[in-house]
Order: sequence, then structure tokens, then C-alpha cells
Amino acid sequence: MTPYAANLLIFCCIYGVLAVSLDLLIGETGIFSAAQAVFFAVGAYSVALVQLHWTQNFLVAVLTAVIAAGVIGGAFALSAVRSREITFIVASLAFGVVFVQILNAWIPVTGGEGGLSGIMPPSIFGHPLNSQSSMITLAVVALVLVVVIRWLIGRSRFGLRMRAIREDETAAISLGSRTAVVKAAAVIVSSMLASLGGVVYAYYVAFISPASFDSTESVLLAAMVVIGGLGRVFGPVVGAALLTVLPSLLAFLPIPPVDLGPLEQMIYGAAVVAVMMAEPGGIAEIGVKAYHQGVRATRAIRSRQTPHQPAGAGSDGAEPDPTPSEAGTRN
Amino acid sequence: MPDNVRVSFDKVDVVFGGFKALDNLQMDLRSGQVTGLVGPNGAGKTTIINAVCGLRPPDSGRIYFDNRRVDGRPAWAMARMGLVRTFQELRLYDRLTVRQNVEAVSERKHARRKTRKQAVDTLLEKFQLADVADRHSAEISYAEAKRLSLARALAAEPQVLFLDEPASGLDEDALTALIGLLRELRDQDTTVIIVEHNLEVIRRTSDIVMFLANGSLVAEGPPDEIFSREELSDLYFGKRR
Repeated sequence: MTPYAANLLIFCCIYGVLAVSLDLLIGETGIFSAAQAVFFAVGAYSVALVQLHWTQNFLVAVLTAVIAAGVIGGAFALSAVRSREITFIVASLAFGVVFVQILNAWIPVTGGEGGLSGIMPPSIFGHPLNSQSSMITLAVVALVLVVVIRWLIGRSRFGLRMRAIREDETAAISLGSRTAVVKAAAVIVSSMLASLGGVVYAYYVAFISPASFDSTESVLLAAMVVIGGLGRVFGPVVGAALLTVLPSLLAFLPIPPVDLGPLEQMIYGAAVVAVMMAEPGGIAEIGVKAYHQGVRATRAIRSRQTPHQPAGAGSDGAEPDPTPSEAGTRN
Repeated sequence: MPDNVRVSFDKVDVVFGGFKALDNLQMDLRSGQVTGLVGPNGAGKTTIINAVCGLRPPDSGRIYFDNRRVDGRPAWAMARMGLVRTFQELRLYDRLTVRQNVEAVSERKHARRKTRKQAVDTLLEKFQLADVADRHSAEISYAEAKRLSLARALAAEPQVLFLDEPASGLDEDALTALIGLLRELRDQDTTVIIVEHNLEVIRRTSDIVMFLANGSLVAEGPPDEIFSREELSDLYFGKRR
């Protein structure tokens, strides 16, 4: 794998982690948060600060990042989770803007606009992950971990509570669901998972600054979730891969570098509109439908290929399935 | 307060802007009865359900449940105490399956997967929804959706069940089944309150009818007595010339 491809793969995994964590809010709970980049930043800055001021221990850095994201996510949840829909979006947007301002202004801790540099690669069980291939492993493990956690949550009672709120919060609360608590828990878990993306990012890039975590990053993450497919385990991963790889292909076009940023934004917007028009369920939904069509087509072909057998002469000697009309007469 | 009173409204006001949806409401709902709430549009029938189930707390006055004051408590707390409702517009979880609609409520009562499955299966069988258990609730017929709405409410194991227009859109067979179910619930000592425009359903199901107008209780009594009073009929249908 070329270094360029490896770089893309690592960023696909980082954005995959972030998109899956955001889908827990948007896709599962029906909460549109525009603050996910905050928890991306919390993960990255936690790693940097732990390493620069405390210890090189990987596990300590990861735990600090996850706990810090949980605490900040909890504070965010308490202040914003009682609001509904548009007020939550505005609150989360404001939270993201304020957080970046704090990163910019709190120079002694965050380094301000200049950021923090000199982050060393992690060392796990004495093995330093200082090669690109080892960073790929770290990024893939983080993505797999987050996808598995997301899948387990989706199958759990907590997941069912989140989906009930997504479908109809008034009905859910009237049937005994403490929706504010469930939403707060969803925000906290989502924040903790997002911080893992920040951990991998900080270790890989070795330099972090507020510019990497502004509100456009949150909008990009939301676009990944919507394009990939809301509420599907692998949808956000697909969306993340697509919106990471496609813009990078622009580098091969004869476009002045100064125009690349605006062009990327236009591509994100156009992609969201195109997917919403073609399939509101996102790319994952297209895939699911194609799969079901394929299964039906395969069954149809097999049934045509099966030689005709006289009634009562099943290959295993069992009674053959009744035809629909026969089944109807039995009932 | 008499022993068999489960829910009591004491001078309850609910005001929307300048309009009093409930005006000094004084009313008792008794246990083990099916109570029909009737009245013209705007009488405050659905507002009563919203107030007692916590979706629209009263602006003044008190609500008691089993002699405990409960007004002002959040809707989830009311439901967990046993004050459970259905909605006129059903409000099902459309992108969840029929089974998940029931399970999303049942899971609070049954933490263990096995007992939860049994409880959900029992309700699906009882409401003839087993055959559509794995379909999304947006894909089932209106009559099935109505039954699911009831099954979901019963999954919360209510002590007092408020049904908002349960009979609307049901054919005669479904109506007969609904009436049978209401009688069964009453026999199990569940207090049932029905808001219904179909007065024939109220007549066939209710032990007592409460007639509301302009946010207040105007009359109460057995269905035949209430429906035979001309002045109430005038209030309901408008004065005949």
C-alpha cells in the first residue's frame, strides 16, 4: 500500500469512528447534534496534554480522553438535552463555536491557534506504533471497536429506548420512558466514542490545532452520516469513506490549491442533495435494497431451474409445500 | 374521598392563551369501572387526559391518584405510577416492527429477555398481531394499528387506562372485540376511561358517563340516563329548532 493510500485509509477510519458515534445520536435517537467535532477535539487534546504534561502511557491517555469526553458530553447533555429538535441543533452549534473559541483563547493549556505539537506515537506493551502500518492497525481497531459497541447498543434495551424517542418522543414519555435521561445517556456515550477518533488523530498527525475541530467539521460528519445511511451500523462508515476519498481525488485534477477547499464543500453539499433525492435512507439503504432484490432474483432463478416433480414425490419423501391456492383451502 | 375513587380532579384549570380548556373541573373517576367521557368538541375531554397523564400540567387545582397528589409530575412518572394513555392519532413507532413497538414499553417491566419475550408474545397473540409481528408498524392496516396502540398501552401494565377515540375507524367485528376487551379489563379491576364520539360505543361499554361542556363536568350517571336527557342532547348536538 502506498503511503498516500495508507493515509487515506487511516483518515477513513478516523472519520468512520466519528460518523458512527454521531449516528448514535442522529440515526438512533433522532437528535441532530452539530457539536460532534467538540468531542473529536477533546479526544485529541486529552492525548496531547496527557503526553506532554503527565505520561506516555497509551492506556492512560485513552482513558483520560474517554472520561473527559464523557464529562464534557454530560455537561453538554444536561444543558441542552431537555430541548427539542431545532433548539437542540442551535444549542449544539453554539456549544461547538464556544468550545473552539476556548481552544483558541486558552493559550497556556491548548497552545491557542498555534496548537500543540510533538505528540509521540503510542507504545503498546512495549511496542512503539511508529510506522504507518502500525497506525493503520490502531485506526482499524478503533473503528472496529466503535462499530461493535454501536451494534451492541442497537441490540440492547437502551437502543430500543433511543429508537422509540426517535420515532415519537411524546408517545415514549407518555408510556413511561425518561426521555431526558435516555437522550443524555446517548449524548454521553456518543461523546465518549467520538473521543476515540480524536485519540487516533492526535497520535497519527502528531500536531493538533483548533482549526481541525471547528463547526464545519461537525457539518461534514453529519453529511457522512446522512449520505451513508442513518441508523445503519455500516452506513456512516460508508459515508465517511466516500467523503474522505472523493475530495482527495480532486488533488489529481488541475485545480489551484486555493480553490480545493470551497470545491470540497460544494461536493459535500451536492452529494447530500443527490443522495437525499435518490434514496433518503442513504447509500446503505440502496445496498440493502439491492441485496434483497438480488436474493429475490436468485430464488426466482433457482425455482425455475428446479425440475418439476409430481405431487407427493418430494425428494426427501416429505409432503411437498402446498401451492398458495391449496394453502388457502386449508385455512 | 370515597374509597373507590382512583383519580380525582379538584378545581382544575387548564388555560390555553385566553381559552379555559378546563374550568374549575371537579370530577372523580372510580375503580373497576369503564367511564365514558362525552361532550361536544372543545369540551375538554382530551385535555383531561393530557392533564392527568402529565403532558399538560394544570395551571391551577389539584389531581389525586389513589389519594396521592400527582399534578405537576412528569408524564413518564405518571405512566410508571399506572396512569397510561393511548392517542387519538395513535403515535406508533412507525420504523419499528410491531413486536418492537410493544417491547419498547414492555422492557421496563421485564428486564430478562425470556420473560420479556413471553409478555410481548402474549400481548401480540391477544391482539391478533402475531402474524404481523415482524412488519414495521407503518405497514400494517388501520385496524391492526389500532390494536397495536392498545397492546402497547397494556404493555405498560396500567392501573388506569385512558383511551382517546379507541373506536374511530373500526368495523363492527373490531368494535365487538374492543368492547369485549374493555369488559375484560374492567373485570381485572383496571379503571378504564374512554373519550369517544361514537355514543353507541359509550352506551355499550361504559358503566358511567360523564358529560363535559366548556371544560366543566355538567352531568354524570348511567349511559341510558345521560343519553335520555334532552338538555344534554341539546348541548352535544346544538339546540334543535
